[in-house]
Amino acid sequence: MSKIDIRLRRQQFTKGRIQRHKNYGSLLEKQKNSHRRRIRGVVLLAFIFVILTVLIISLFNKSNAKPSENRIPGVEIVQSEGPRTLNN
Amino acid sequence: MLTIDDSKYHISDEEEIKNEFLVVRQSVRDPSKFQVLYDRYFETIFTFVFRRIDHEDVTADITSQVFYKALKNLKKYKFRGVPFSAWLYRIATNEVYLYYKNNKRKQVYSLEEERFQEIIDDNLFDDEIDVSEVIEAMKSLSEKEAEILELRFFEEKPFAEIAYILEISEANAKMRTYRSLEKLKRQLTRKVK
Repeated sequence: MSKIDIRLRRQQFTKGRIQRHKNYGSLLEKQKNSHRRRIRGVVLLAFIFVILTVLIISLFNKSNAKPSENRIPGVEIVQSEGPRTLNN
Repeated sequence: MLTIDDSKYHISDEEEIKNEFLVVRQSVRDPSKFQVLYDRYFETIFTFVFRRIDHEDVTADITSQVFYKALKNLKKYKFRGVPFSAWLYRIATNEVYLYYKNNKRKQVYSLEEERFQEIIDDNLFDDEIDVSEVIEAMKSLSEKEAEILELRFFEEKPFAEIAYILEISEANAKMRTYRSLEKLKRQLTRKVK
C-alpha cells in the first residue's frame, strides 16, 4: 500500500479564484481580538498576583505581631489610683 | 539526471530580503503594515497548501491560519538571510501536518499535470518517461521524501530555503533531495525492466 496519494489535476488555480479567499480585514480583526484577549489575561493575572501578594504580606504580619505584655497567666495588672486614706 | 546545484533556482537578492525584514519590524508595531507581505505571498502559500490538501475550502482555512499565526508571532521572527516567504512555508508545512494528524488521512499531493510534464521534460530523467509512470514510482516515497522533492521541483526553492522550511541543515537538505531522487529513479528503472 502506498504511503502517499498522488493526484494529477489539469486545471491550475486562476488568480481570481484565489483572490476570492483573500480577506486581510478579517485577519486583522482576528489578530486584534486575540491581542485584546491577551492583554485582558495579563491584566487579570497581574490583579490576581497583587491580591495574593497583599494577602501573604498581611498573613505574615499577623504571625509576627508582638506577643502580649502580660507575662503572668491569670494575673491582670491594674493601674493604681494612688494611696487610700483611712479617714473614710 | 537533474543537477543538484542551485544555479537555476531563484534566489532572492539580499536587498529584497532586508526590505522584507524591515516591513516585518514595522508590522510588529503597526499590524496594518503586514498587508504588503500578505498581498505578496497569499497566492503562493494558497497554491502550496492546495497541492498538499486538494480541497479548496480547507486550503482557504489553512492559508488564513498561516497568515494569522505569522502576524501573531511576528515578534519571534528572526532574520536568517532567507525571504520572509520561507517562514510562511514553514508555518504552512506545520499546519498541513497538523491537519493530517487531526484527520488521520493519507497525505495527498495534488500536482498540476502541465507543471509535472515540464519538470519531467527538464532533463529530470535519462530516458523518456511517461507522467503516469513517475506518479506510480512516487507512491513508493515517504511523506518526507515527497515533501522535499515538491519543495525543490514544484516550488523551485534553493537548498538554503528548503533547509530553513524543514528546520534541517543545508547539507542535509541537499543529501535528502539527492537520496529521494535516487530512490525515485530506482523505482522507475525497476518498473521499466
